[in-house]
Amino acid sequence: MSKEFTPGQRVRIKREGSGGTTNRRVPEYARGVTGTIVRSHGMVTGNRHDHAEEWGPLYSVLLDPSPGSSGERVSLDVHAPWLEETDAGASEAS
Amino acid sequence: MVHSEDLDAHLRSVEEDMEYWRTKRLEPRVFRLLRKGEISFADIITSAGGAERFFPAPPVGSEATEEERVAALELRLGEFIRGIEVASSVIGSNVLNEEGRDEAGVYDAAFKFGHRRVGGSSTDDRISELGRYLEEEMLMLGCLLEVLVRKGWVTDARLEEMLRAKSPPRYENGARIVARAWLDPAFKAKLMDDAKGTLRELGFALNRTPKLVVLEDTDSVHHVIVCTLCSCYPYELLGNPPWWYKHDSYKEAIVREPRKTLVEMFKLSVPGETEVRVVDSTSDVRYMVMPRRPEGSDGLGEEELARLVTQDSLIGVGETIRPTVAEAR
Repeated sequence: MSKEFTPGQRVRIKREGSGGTTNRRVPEYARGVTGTIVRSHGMVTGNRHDHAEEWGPLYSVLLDPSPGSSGERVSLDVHAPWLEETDAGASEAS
Repeated sequence: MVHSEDLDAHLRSVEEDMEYWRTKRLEPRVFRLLRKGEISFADIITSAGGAERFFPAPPVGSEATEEERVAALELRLGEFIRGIEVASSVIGSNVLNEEGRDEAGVYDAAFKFGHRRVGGSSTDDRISELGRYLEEEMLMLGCLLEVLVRKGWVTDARLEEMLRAKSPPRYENGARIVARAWLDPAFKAKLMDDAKGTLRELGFALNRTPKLVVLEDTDSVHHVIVCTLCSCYPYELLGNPPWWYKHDSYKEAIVREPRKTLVEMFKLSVPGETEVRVVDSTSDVRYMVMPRRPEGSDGLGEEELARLVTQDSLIGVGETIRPTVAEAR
């Protein structure tokens, strides 16, 4: 069972996939970035063309803007195995 | 120059689309039939005589501008894609694993498909070269269809019917849904809660769309959709995205500097007090934007309202049309 998260929770997107490989399920710009869960999509099944195995619940994560950016934010969909809890607060730009 | 009017970029996008359908959809099916011994190379070669009847080449106007010629190429590419879809529905989608991401070389260059170089030093030359290349591939597709008929896997009449009936979904589907949601709060609430279920009730199959989410724009937030890893889009509902949607130039800029990119690429200025929120998709969830209802549209019916919704506004890079402007059109 993969861990479940709830909207409002602070998370960090993992840099690495399982077994120390690069996490290729998330775009490079988001690896290691913190953010806030804004939507829970639940288990998404029946997407055999893209991934045969199940990857656990899916969440929309509103990423913290990178320092020095213009402050607009990106929401990215990430499956639970590639997320970890964090205590880091939202950055000031948000 | 506004990005969407960049002719060379548009041409590259047509070429990339064509290469995608050739390498990932057409050829894997041909290879599978060959490797399983279900057809032979000789079957393909001897079918060439009957191949051209499926896609008669359109006449090319000598007066056509470059823009018109690229638009004609895009239409022809549409026929190519529909033909491949029809062939696939006869053959089945159980292809060899060239369709897998690893095998396609997404993660490992050793497996990457080689692409033929389309030559030409000027835009004019490149349009002609790409046109010739596309016709060659149309011939291959025609041969495959002819083989399917000769093998008795599909009748000639049925094939013709499928080629004609296969009309792809268009963004107007989305425009109609948005118009209805503007008018009917109960429908909007259902749509926001469960877009896929609500639209399935209206007859959209959405069999290959795992989840669909409609994002409502308000005075405080403006949504923009992108798929930076590939080109996920609500294809089954809206048809093909505009050509620039799949371009790295759009993908990279929109996540880095959203507000500035909207102005520079699309001449869209979002008011400073409105947050610009980029939504980066994965294949699991497809997004459509529900733009704000334009001012001055009170009293209009669903059909009239739908005409105010543009393809760009469903992605979040353009505005809806103001009714006064629509009247003048």
